[in-house]
Amino acid sequence: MKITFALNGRETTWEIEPVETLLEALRRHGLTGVKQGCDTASCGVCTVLLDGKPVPSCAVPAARVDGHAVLTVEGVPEKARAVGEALAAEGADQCGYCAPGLVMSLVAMEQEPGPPDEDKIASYLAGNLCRCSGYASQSRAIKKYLGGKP
Amino acid sequence: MAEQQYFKPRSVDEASALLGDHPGAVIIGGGAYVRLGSRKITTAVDLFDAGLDYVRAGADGLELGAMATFRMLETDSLVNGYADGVVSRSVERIVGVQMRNITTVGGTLYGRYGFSNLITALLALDAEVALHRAGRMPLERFFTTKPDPGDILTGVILPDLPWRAAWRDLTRTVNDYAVLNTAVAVREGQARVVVGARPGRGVRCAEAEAALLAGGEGAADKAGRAAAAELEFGDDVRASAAYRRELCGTLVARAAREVLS
Ligand SMILES: Cc1cc2nc3c(=O)[nH]c(=O)nc-3n(C[C@H](O)[C@H](O)[C@H](O)COP(=O)(O)OP(=O)(O)OC[C@H]3O[C@@H](n4cnc5c(N)ncnc54)[C@H](O)[C@@H]3O)c2cc1C
Repeated sequence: MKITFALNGRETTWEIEPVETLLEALRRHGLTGVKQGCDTASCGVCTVLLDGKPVPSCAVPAARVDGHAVLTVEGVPEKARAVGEALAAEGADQCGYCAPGLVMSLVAMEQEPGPPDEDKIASYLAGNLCRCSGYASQSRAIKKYLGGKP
Repeated sequence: MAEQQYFKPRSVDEASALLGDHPGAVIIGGGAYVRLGSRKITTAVDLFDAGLDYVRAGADGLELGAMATFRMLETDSLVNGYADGVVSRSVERIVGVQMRNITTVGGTLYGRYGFSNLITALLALDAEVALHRAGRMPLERFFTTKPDPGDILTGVILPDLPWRAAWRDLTRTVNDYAVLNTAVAVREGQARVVVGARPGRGVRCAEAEAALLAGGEGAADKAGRAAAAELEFGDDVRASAAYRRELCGTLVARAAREVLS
C-alpha cells in the first residue's frame, strides 16, 4: 500500500507493507539513524516524533503515519551534533546506540512549554534506556546543552 | 495467506462498518500490545484518525476518548483537576514519555489487563464506558460481560462527583509493572476501595469500603486489613501472594489515610 506523509519536513510517498512498523519502513528506506532496541516499546532507542510527539517507532504501524508528520534524527542534524558533543564532553555516551533516540526526546522536550527542570529531564530520560554510561552524566550533559543551568 | 489490509477510518461509524465487512479484523488503539509483526493480522482497523483522541468536559462529566493517550491523561488539566488527579497519578510513571504517547484508554480497557493501573483508578471513580454497539454501561459491568469483538469502545465518562481520591502502587523499579496497585475514593456517604495487579484485575473491596464508611479511630488501618483479608492474591515473577496480601494492607491504609485527612 502507499502512504504519503511529511518526512523531516518533506512530502514523501512510500510503498509499504500493510502491517510493518514505522521503524522497519524507515530503516528499509535508508533512514538508519533510527535504531532498533527492545522492539517492545520499552527502551526508547527507536524514538521519532510523530506530529511533534516522541513515540517508539517499533510500536507505531507505518500505515498510521499516512497524512501525518514524522521527524527523525536525520531531520535535525545541527541538534544531533550539538547534543552529541554535550554527551561526549560529559562522558555520557559510549557505544552511542541510544543517542539518536535521546536526541529526538530532547527535541520534543524543548518544544514543551515551560523550562525543562530536573523533574522534566528525569521523566524524559526514564523513557530512553542507556546501558553504558548511566543517567547522572546524561542529565549533566543535557543541562549543559540546554544552556548551562546548574 | 490472504492479502493484508490496513484501514484508517475517519469516524467511528466508518470503523464499525469496516469491522462488519471484515470479520476477524483487529482494532488498533495505541498498538503497543497488538505487536504487528508477531501476530497474523490480515485486516487492521486503526482508530488513529477516527476522532477519538479527546479529553473534554461533557454534559455528564469528564469524557476521555478511547484514543486519549496516557500522556494526555498525565498532562491534561481537566484530568489533573478531577478527583485529586488520581487518574493522572495512576499512569504518569508507566515506562516513559514515548510509550505514554501511544498507549490509549480504549486499548487498556478492552485488554482487561490484570496489572493495569488505569483500570484500578477508573473503577474507584464509578466510571462508565461508551461502546458503539452496546451503548453506555458502568465499567464494572463491562468487565463482567463477554467482550464483543466487533464492538468499539468509544470512550469513558467520569461522572461529575466530588471524589476525594488517592493513588498508591509499589513497583520493583520506578517504571516496572506494579506489584500491587490501589485507588481509594470517598465522597459524602460513599467509599470506593479498588485493588489491582493482585496480579488479577482491579476489583472493589466491599469490607474495606464499609470500614471507611463506618469511620472512627483507625478507619484507614481497618480498611487496609479488611482488603487484605477479603481479596484473592496470586504469585508471579514480581511477588508472591503472601507478599501481596501484606502489601495490600499497607497501601490501602496509606491511600485511605490520605483521603480521610
Ligand atoms: C512496554 C510496556 C510496558 C507497560 N507497562 C505497564 C505498566 O507498568 N502498567 C500498566 O498499567 N500498563 C502497562 N502497559 C500496558 C499499557 O498501559 C496499555 O494498557 C497497553 O499497551 C494496551 O494499550 P494500547 O492502546 O497499546 O492497546 P492496543 O495494543 O492497541 O490494543 C489492545 C487490545 O484492545 C483492542 N482495542 C484497542 N482499542 C480498542 C477500542 N477502542 N475498542 C475496542 N477494542 C480496542 C485491540 O484490538 C487489542 O486487542 C505496558 C505496555 C507496554 C507495551
